[in-house]
Amino acid sequence: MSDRREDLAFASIHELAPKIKDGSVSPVELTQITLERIAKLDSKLNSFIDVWQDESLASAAKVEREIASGDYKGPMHGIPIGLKDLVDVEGRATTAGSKVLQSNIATSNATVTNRLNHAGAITLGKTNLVEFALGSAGVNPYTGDACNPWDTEKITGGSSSGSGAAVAAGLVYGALGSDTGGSIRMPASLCGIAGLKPTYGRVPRTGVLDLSWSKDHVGPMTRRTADCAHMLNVIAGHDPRDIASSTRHVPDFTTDLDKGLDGLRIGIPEHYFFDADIVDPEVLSSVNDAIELLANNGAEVISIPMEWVSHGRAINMIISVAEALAVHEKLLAENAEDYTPAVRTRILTALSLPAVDYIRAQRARQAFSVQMAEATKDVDVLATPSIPVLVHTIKECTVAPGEALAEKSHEIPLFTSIFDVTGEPSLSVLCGFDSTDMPIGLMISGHAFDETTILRVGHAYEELAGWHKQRPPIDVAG
Amino acid sequence: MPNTDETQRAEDISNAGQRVGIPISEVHAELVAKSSDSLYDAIDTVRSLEYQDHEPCNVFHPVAFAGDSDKESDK
Repeated sequence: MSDRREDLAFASIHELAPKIKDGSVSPVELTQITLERIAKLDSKLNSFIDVWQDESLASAAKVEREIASGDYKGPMHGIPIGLKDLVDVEGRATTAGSKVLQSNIATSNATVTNRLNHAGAITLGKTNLVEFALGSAGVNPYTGDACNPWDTEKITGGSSSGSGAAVAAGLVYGALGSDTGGSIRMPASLCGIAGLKPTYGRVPRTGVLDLSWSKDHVGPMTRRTADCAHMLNVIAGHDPRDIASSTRHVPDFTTDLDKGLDGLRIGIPEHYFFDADIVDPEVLSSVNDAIELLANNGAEVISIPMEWVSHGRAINMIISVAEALAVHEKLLAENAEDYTPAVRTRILTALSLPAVDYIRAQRARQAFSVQMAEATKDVDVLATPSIPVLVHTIKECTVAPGEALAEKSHEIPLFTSIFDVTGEPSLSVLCGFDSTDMPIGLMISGHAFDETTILRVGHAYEELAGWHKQRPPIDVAG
Repeated sequence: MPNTDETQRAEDISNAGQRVGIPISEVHAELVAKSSDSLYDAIDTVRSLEYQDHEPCNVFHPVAFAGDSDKESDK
């Protein structure tokens, strides 16, 4: 692939949009480049479950005509994307990465699919995931494990594993993920991209398979924060068919991107997130450097005691497995043997969970959310590591049939899961690399329905640090 | 020596599976029990918390707290 075509493959939506609008970049060429990269590289990455080559090219030709005729719909117009394979596309299988749903053909589009289509995005296909989105490492023995573009022996993180790998490797410009315990931000962190979990209720889940009703979020994964803002602009907003969908006004999430850091107050938790017993020293070093950079460029850093914050992980775990069992009860009764062993085992742990403990967890969640709101009322965002550990190998996270669940995977969602409990928006951005050249993520989390501010901080950080310009070595790897 | 807690858990899991119509072999019930340690730790943690002043979270509007509800914003 020529340097120009590779540069185009790794360009951001933010950079491409004005060029697509003025006709200097062709959506057809972008689609050809991304399809060519999928054909060349995805045998190493396994990031896609299904690719729709002919339909994508036809769609690209159509949007190119629309734009040429002056009917430009906005920054997502003409942008090739991927959809995690739990998002419905009419006439296509939504498998959730499971044999159980291999013949589950969607009869209509998800709301987010419709919104991306109307915005003129070009969907190249469905991305790989952990079976039924239930797992943090990103492994899936049924579809095959997605591999990290920075080192294909390493995990991508999950559950939006294919979306993370495909975006990082320049196979698409953006992808949708879902996040119940960190499934957008974990692969974003481990694959070195930006991933945004919006506020609960901000993006409708209609036509997106459930995992845990009260904590499921849908959101964008892109190579830089500004692109998350562009995707969120398209997919956010009320949908009466989703009981949890917020009726709040949806702002333009790009408005504050260039406002910088002056006047912003960044909270740093004194507990848990920076505990040397939990967090790898290389992660601590990169994240502390990132915070120092923010402080040196206009942000005020404020230390916040949070002795109680680790409890969020326990609350998340109980609610997740209880609701997942309720979601899967019928499917498990009829197809138990078709589940992969680790996911079936994980769901079935909830069979020994008393109902009262689920209610206790929802009461504790309410108390926890009030505590979080109170503790963070004097800051605009919190800055923390996204993941406490370095990137594990796929082998370390693979569970053999008959073995108990892998402990390695339990460390990954310790921090991300906190903000699925509160429902607050949370973004992971690349903030450096460890000594083996694997990515490290900075997590920026904010107040409910204030995605604008965390996007502002993420964008400002990227502009200062420039890590997002790094490309994984996948193009030259053997 | 079998772990008696795990043996009891496996029996509970098997019985609960039967009640909801999910077939679980004895061997698999033991595996699920062995994989439940972190869930049981989480249960113990939550039981130790002070949540008694709070009703359960509104599961479809979990961020509706501290004057931050959708209803208030829509007025």
